[in-house]
Amino acid sequence: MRESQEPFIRIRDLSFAYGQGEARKEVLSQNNMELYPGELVIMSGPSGSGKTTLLSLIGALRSVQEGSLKVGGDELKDFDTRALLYYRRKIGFIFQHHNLFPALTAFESVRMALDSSDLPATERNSRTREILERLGLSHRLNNKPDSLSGGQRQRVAIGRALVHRPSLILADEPTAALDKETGRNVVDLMKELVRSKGSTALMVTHDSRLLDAADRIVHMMDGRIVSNVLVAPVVDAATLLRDSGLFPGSTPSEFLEVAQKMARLRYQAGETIITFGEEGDRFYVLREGEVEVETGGPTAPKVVGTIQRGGFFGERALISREPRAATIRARGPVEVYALDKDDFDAAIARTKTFQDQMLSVIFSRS
Amino acid sequence: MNPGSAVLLSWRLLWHNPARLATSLGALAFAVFLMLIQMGFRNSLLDSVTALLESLDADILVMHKEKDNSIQRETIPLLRVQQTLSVEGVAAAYPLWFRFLYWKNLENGAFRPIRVLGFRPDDPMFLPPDIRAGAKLLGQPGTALLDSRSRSYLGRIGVGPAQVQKEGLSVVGTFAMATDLEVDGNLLVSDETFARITHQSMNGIELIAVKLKPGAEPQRVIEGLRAGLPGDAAVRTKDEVRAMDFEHWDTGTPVSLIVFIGMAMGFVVGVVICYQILYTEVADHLAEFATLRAIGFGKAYIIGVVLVEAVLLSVVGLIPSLAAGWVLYRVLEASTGLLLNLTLPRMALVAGLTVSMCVFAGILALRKVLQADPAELF
Ligand SMILES: Nc1ncnc2c1ncn2[C@@H]1O[C@H](COP(=O)(O)OP(=O)(O)O)[C@@H](O)[C@H]1O
Ligand SMILES: [Mg+2]
Repeated sequence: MRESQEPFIRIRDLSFAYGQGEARKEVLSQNNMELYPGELVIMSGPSGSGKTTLLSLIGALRSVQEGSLKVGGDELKDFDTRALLYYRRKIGFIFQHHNLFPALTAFESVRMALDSSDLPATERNSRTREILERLGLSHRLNNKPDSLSGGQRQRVAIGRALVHRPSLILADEPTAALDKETGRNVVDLMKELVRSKGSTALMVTHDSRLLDAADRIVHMMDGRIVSNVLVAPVVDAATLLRDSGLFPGSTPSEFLEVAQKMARLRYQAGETIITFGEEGDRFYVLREGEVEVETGGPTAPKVVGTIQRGGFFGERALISREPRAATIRARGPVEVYALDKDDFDAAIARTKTFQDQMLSVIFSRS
Repeated sequence: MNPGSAVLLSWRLLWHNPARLATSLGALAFAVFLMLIQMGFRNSLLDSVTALLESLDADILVMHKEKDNSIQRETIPLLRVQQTLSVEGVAAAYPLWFRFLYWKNLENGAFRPIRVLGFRPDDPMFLPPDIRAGAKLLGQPGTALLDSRSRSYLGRIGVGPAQVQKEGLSVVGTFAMATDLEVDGNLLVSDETFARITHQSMNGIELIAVKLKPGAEPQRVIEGLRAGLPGDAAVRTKDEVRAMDFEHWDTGTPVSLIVFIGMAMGFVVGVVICYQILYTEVADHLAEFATLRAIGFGKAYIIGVVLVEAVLLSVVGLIPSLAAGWVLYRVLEASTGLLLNLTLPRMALVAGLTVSMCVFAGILALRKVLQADPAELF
């Protein structure tokens, strides 16, 4: 599924190799990805698949070798030292290692991240206190790392990464050292920045409990992004498919797989979605708004009913290979999930039960 | 970027490991000590060879033109005093005699070199109050004032019977002057006593201390003296004589080279020690410094942190070092009689050298910290 906004980060054909000559080893191959303002992206994938390398390229910690990496429309390769400095200041890095100065207190470590800003000292102090409070560290402000637990240190590092309200958050397994509740707090904090400030967050994690926070899930394998899924609409579409009662017995992953192939389409009031007599090319599930069903063709048009969110249409012509038996028209602004005929056929062909169930639905309608 | 933040970080880094800091400061103090001792040696030499000059209440000094320092022996005729007095603008002219003789340590019978200074007890030619007070006691022939800073080789330093060469004397008081490379002490006597113990004519004098009349123009008087005195006499202001003495002892002898090498060694040792300290500091925090780079702190900030830490280290190190140096000077002074003064300009010199050696070491350590590579952080 696609968004129509300008991406904050746009990656095209990005490849990266470590080493030279004989020892050269390509760890990223021809990757494409967009990161949009206001989304939290979770990246997963087996160890060694290149997640960290990709993060360090996006964070300008390594230089782009091949392909394009654009930030706000500008090629990162062309940034001079100063521009890089400013770009990095807009990023909140959360590393696997906390890298806190042992000599600094939690408060001082976090406040350092504001030292490059023009904020007055009182504001810097209060923001620092506030974020440490949010991270459950208000009783540890004056502790140095050696008197903090591993999880507390990691939270200080997270505070340092988020206190300046970065436009881009790059986090490599930030919750690995945290218990369930604090892990959730951290993700909530990131989510809040993403929602309120329109920041972009890219988080590598293997913690499936956090997946629900993701707007998109990216999966990497062997240096390639093998799937890139906008979560909310897919989950929504899959839920609607399930609730439709069309496919009893299907597993969640089967629903998701079909839902992933669906496109999200928008229609204005009065627009025709399906035209009577035409060949069937798509199956639709209604996401938002209301459509009317008109039978009888152009000669004897007659509205026989309406369909609301969760309802579906267009399946009959696909299965029976006959022309559309009705016209479907938007009554107001309408959003649908649409599945192409080939994908629909493939889904049906994949499981006999699926097909049988479809047929039984059609049978019960006629 | 907020400079206060760099200073805070440096300060915290410096104090974070107090045990390590204490070791570092000890090592740094050692380097400062080396410099202080060398400098003390040089200064004590200069101070002690000019101690006599400094004690004279004179605007202008007349001495033999062949002398290239004030304590070298070369006499001019006593007649020059009269000639000096006849020059316009001269208020007073006081002759000074001195000879190197042997003082008998009455405790062990050993003879040690001593400088015997002769003057007319009624001539107010000395500045130090102890000499002015003691001069009144010297009217009695056979009496003397003994330098309380004389080395312990002379035996008991104090009032009582004494012997110079074969002549018995009575020490009636003390004054504080200094020993130097040539003598173990000073003895101040009247001209009459001087004649008695040296068995010499009083016609040859070492120098004349000249006082000007109030309002007299020094340069005019000097010109008058040069015109009025025969060619054997050189006329100089007290400042010129001091400069001449410094010149003679500081550059005219190998002492200064030895001292310079000693100072340089102290400096190099200091740089090595500071480099060790700062390098370890930086190497231990490479990942943290790299993190700072990653989150948008520029090179300048990192350089600032290291150099500020270098300066803080030197400043923190200087305080105990100078305090310990001062104690060391007192101990050495008490045991050797050498003058060891830690004056402000001398402290400033050591402080300047210490700060610059730390900063120099900091610059060397920077090469390491600038290698901190944020790429390896994730
Ligand atoms: N600095 C490096 N030098 C050489 N190879 C590296 C370096 N960092 C990572 N790699 C290799 O690149 C591949 C991808 O690593 P990485 O990006 O860390 O993957 P992930 O974060 O998904 O585990 C791995 O095969 C790893 O061994
Ligand atoms: Mg990794």
